[in-house]
Amino acid sequence: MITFLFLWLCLPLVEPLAYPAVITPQDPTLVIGSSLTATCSVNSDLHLKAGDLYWTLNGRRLPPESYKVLNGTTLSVTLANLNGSRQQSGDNLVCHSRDGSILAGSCLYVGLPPEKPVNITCWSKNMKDLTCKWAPGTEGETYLHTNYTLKYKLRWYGRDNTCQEYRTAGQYSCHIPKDLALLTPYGHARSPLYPGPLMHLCSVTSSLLTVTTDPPADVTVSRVGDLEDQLSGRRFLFQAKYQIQYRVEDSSEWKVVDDVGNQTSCRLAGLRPGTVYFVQVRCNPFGIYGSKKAGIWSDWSNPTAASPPR
Amino acid sequence: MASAEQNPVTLHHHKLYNRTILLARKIHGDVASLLESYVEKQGLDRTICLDSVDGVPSAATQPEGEMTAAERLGAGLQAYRAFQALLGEVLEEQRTHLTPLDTDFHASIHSVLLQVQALARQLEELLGCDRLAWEAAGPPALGGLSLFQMKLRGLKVLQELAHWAVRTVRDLHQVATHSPGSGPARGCQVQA
Repeated sequence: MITFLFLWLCLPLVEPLAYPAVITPQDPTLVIGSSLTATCSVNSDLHLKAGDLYWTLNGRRLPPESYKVLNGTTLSVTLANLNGSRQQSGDNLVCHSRDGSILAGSCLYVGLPPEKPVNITCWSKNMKDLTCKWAPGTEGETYLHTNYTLKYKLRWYGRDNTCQEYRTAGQYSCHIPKDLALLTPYGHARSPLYPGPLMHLCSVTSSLLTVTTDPPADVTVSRVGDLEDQLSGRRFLFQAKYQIQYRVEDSSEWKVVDDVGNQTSCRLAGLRPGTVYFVQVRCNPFGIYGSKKAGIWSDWSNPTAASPPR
Repeated sequence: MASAEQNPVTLHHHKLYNRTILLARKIHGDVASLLESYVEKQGLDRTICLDSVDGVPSAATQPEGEMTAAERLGAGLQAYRAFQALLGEVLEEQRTHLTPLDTDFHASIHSVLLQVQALARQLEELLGCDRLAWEAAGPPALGGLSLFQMKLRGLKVLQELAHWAVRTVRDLHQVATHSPGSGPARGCQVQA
């Protein structure tokens, strides 16, 4: 029983010996052009001399001039003016013993910090969800994979929410499926440099959001006079400008009325009596979610047919 | 003509042997091409010394001379069960840490993982093994690796898997040749 207990207690002490050497720093993230001094400390029980060790970077042996023996078991190497990482999985800085065996390795992630994401655009097609897209900064993702986090804050609530469904509308996009009908989010994109500690924050307020909606529903056409029709749509919960287009039944050419403004009804004049017309409406919201930007035109509504009396 | 005279059970096993051989060959081919892209994406040399990497079943260290072909198939089954867990970890490491954007590469690893699962199932059927008992035990827990160690272990997993696939094809041929009319080979007794 005593022997068993002794062995059990010793296990955690023995475990570190499984690694013949340790490289410091381990898997660092670095900026292009910077320098790095790394050390390889060999386990003293292996009876290896620091002077017998050598370094490789991506399989290529580094020149001994860049080495420095710090003590009997520790060898450093200095890399100046680092280039961007050769592969996404990081450059391999490896410490070898004299016979070529690998003692330890460290992955170097060399690149540029992420730039502020640009062209953030958010849209809602049904007032119940929100999808946002953005583009990487002007330099793009230079050598380093960037994680993006889209945050939004709901009106009347101070708590930040984080978008969860990424890439639903492309590589740089996120979808917020919750019911946002009465809430006002503001875009808030964040791109931490992966996997290092540098991060970059950019935010966009709701005034920069671009919003669209589903096309107007319940479009009705009613006769108001011999040669006039009045078109009315339902009243929306937000302000919008509208466009109407109409065509005769046997023509594919639509005539657009784009001076409807924010009126939810419009009179079409000059129609031919007894002719069937198809009428469609689309809207472009503004002020929705607090946005001050021009919105995106919705799709056209389903066509509604009507005929002025003879 | 001879196969036409076999009873349905024997015929089923004959087909199963052939299917398993084909699958093991396919795995070998797929792993070979996966290895090419793996070393490129990890910035490694295929000749790199992997002696320091533990926890991967080695096809070379099995005492083949002392085992029957069926026992060797049983050892292969054990190895493939371990490879299922290892490939799952390799895939997760690539997705999470090493090549998070390379979805095609992940799909290639996943494809090999699925084939290894299928191969293990076919070997279980050939050897008459109890799959549920193994599934209850779950995969071995490995962790705490640095990113570089993950790269090395992934390389060793693929290299050894390729060796095991070759060995399995050879063992299957031997079993099929030496016991053409037999039912399931009995190799499960080598399980731990």
